[in-house]
Amino acid sequence: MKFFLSFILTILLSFAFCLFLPWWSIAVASFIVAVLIPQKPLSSFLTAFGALFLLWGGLSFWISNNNDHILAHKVSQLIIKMDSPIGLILLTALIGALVAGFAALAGCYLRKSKV
Amino acid sequence: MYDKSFSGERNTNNKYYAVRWKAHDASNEIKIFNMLNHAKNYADYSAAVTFLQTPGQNCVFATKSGDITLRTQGDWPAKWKGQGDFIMPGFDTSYLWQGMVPQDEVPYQYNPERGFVSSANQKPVDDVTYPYYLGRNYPLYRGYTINKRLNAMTGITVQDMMALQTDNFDAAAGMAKPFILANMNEQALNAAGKKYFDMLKGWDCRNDIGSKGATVFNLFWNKFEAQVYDDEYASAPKIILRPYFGTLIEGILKDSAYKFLDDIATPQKETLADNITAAFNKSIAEMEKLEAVGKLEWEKYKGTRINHLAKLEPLSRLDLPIGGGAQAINATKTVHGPSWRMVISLSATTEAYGVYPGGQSGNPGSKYYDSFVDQWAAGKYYPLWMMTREETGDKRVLAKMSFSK
Repeated sequence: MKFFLSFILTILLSFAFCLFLPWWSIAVASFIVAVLIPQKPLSSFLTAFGALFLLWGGLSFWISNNNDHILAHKVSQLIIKMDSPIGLILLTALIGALVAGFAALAGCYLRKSKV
Repeated sequence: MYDKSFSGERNTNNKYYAVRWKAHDASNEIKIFNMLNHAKNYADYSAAVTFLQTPGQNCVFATKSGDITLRTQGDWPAKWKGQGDFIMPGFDTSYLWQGMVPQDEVPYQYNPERGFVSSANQKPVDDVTYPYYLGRNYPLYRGYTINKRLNAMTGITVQDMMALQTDNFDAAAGMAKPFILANMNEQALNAAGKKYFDMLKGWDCRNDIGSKGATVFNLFWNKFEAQVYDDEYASAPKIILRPYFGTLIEGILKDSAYKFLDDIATPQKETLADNITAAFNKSIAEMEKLEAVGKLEWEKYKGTRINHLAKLEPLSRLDLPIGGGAQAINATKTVHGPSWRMVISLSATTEAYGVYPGGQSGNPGSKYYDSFVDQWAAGKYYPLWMMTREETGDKRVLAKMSFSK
């Protein structure tokens, strides 16, 4: 239950933050959720990791799909040196997931050290 | 202005160079477009284009009533023959530009007897009669083909002009090929050489898609130029101008004993046949290499590309299927060529057609980024909308912008 709640909250908060703030506000969102809802370190990492992987993966797929992946075809050749929009979307998702995961882990340890 | 401290860190032997650049002079080129937009006749056109000082351009003009003109418009320095071709002593003011070509002596044609005006950047004046020197390196062969073709054409339609603009005939090859065939020592060629020579024999001198003869000719010609001139250049400074493209053709056309044909490094006297056969033999290896990788076809060898400004390949268009070449009217080379093509028919209602190898959007993520490239490569055009006052309600109008004082 905690996992599910954190997962949904991280997604919503990250999405909302990024409407107004720079991309790295996802770290702040994941950190806050991890502080508010106590979980084991590994679970909090995986929660935020999964949440942002889904959010950024889904969002970038949606944006790219609306563009028929034209830009992603070209940029994927520039960045990952292969013509793969999905590869670029997965990479985007992974970056978001790692940032959020470590932010949540930090939040989790902060809470632990206080208790 | 000359300042000895500006060495550019590229000077040699403590020598410093200065250059007079025409673009530093004040002028008002933008005014031309405003004036041309309001121009009604030849006098208005002439008044407008004379504001064009730099860079010089060939400005064509036509009216529905039948007036035509072409001006090689610019504010040209009035030079003596050869002035500025080589470095001159800057401390002696008699070497400076002494004045500009008066605007009424700028090269132009107005309603010439032959009934058309044309330019493919060929030399606009006759050196013998024109009193000023306008430089020496002008492309010759495209203008030659255009004038020849226009002279022979009657009742020209829009489609005829489109076909002319995208024509792939290589006039330089057309002149040189008979000399190559007549002077090739076929006994000195190996089996591969004979095969490629047959391709050259059967070539129609057109730089069309799929043409292998065009590639063979161009590979051969590079080697031929090297064969003829390299011996003379062997002892020349490293960075020195090579002969212009037409020099070798003109040399062998005028004189079968063209003096540069002799290899000065050997005691015997080489002939045109010796040079042609040796050059062809030297180019066989490259032909075989290209054929092995399936790139002997002209458009594959040429590999025309439209580069992104930062030369990022995924944002560019590579290996376009298009013919043409430096000496064809369709002067499409690898990274340079005729981008804007336009045909206008000044019939009762003006009909206009145009195309360019790009798109209406500069955003690489837009489908309009490169949407015209294939149409351009195929030599096709889009109709251009010459909007009239009555068409303001046309459904093609997507947006309106209102100006007020």
